[in-house]
Amino acid sequence: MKLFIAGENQRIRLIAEGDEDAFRSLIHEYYPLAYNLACRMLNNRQDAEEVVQDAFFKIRGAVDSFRGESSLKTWILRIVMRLSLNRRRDRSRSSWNRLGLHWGMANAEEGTPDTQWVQQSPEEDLISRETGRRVLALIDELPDPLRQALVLNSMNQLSYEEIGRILQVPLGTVSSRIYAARNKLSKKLREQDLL
Amino acid sequence: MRLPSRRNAEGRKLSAYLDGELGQSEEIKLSDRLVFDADLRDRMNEFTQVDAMTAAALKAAPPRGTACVADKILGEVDQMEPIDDLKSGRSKLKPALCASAGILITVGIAFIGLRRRGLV
Repeated sequence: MKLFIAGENQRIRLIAEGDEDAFRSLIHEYYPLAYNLACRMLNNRQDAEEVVQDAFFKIRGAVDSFRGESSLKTWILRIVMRLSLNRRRDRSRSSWNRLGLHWGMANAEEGTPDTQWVQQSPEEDLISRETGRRVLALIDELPDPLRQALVLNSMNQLSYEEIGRILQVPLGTVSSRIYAARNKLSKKLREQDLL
Repeated sequence: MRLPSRRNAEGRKLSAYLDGELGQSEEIKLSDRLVFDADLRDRMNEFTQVDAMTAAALKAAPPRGTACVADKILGEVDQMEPIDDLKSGRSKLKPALCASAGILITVGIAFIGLRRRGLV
């Protein structure tokens, strides 16, 4: 595969012209990040994979409309976020979700939970798998704008400025939402004796 | 006891401090206050714990190989019609659909009229 040292604009031009290698390099570079966001938003591996694949189809089709006003990263993540929200809305309408059956069912074939509750470090050992599920459920209950900001911030790779570009809100709003999300979550965790 | 609005303003600063998003001078001021203000330190610890729990709970499983995903997407993209063709196909289809719908409605109205007059 060719190495794409050229700038984003050239890569976009190549993708628009149908260059497979350019598109493949884009997938290789951004798929893990996009998948990470979708997985955190949906708590479901299969849904996340479908949403991200759909996102890349859309990106391929709409690459001409990328104007370079934001970075490619924030543009891709904005598309993934929007599709994840749509998927959540569709899912919340289904009886499967209303009955709460979606929790922990995503990777039944692999015997792992949806967002992986992996106990790798001593810090993580402090939190049980069951606690992880309860924390996830509490995050899921947060109002959409707060949850989106919290999830994006939890990815550690995004600055407030980038989160603002993805959510299309000012910097101050990002900061307020992240604080409000932490504050609400902290209260709920205390109510459930998890903190 | 601090006023709620002041508490919120402080909370926002703490939250931004935790993310390394506070301006340099604000960061230095807050660092100094954290040394002497036990209440502020408690809140900071609480946010740190919430953050650790959130990060652990939201830790996503690593994606399956990106190479096969890239192949899958590219394979399906190849099977799709080119976007220009789709657009032109759609634009050709629209007038045809409108014309068909118009004819159907006209025929329907005429049929109902004839029926009312007992001609059908």
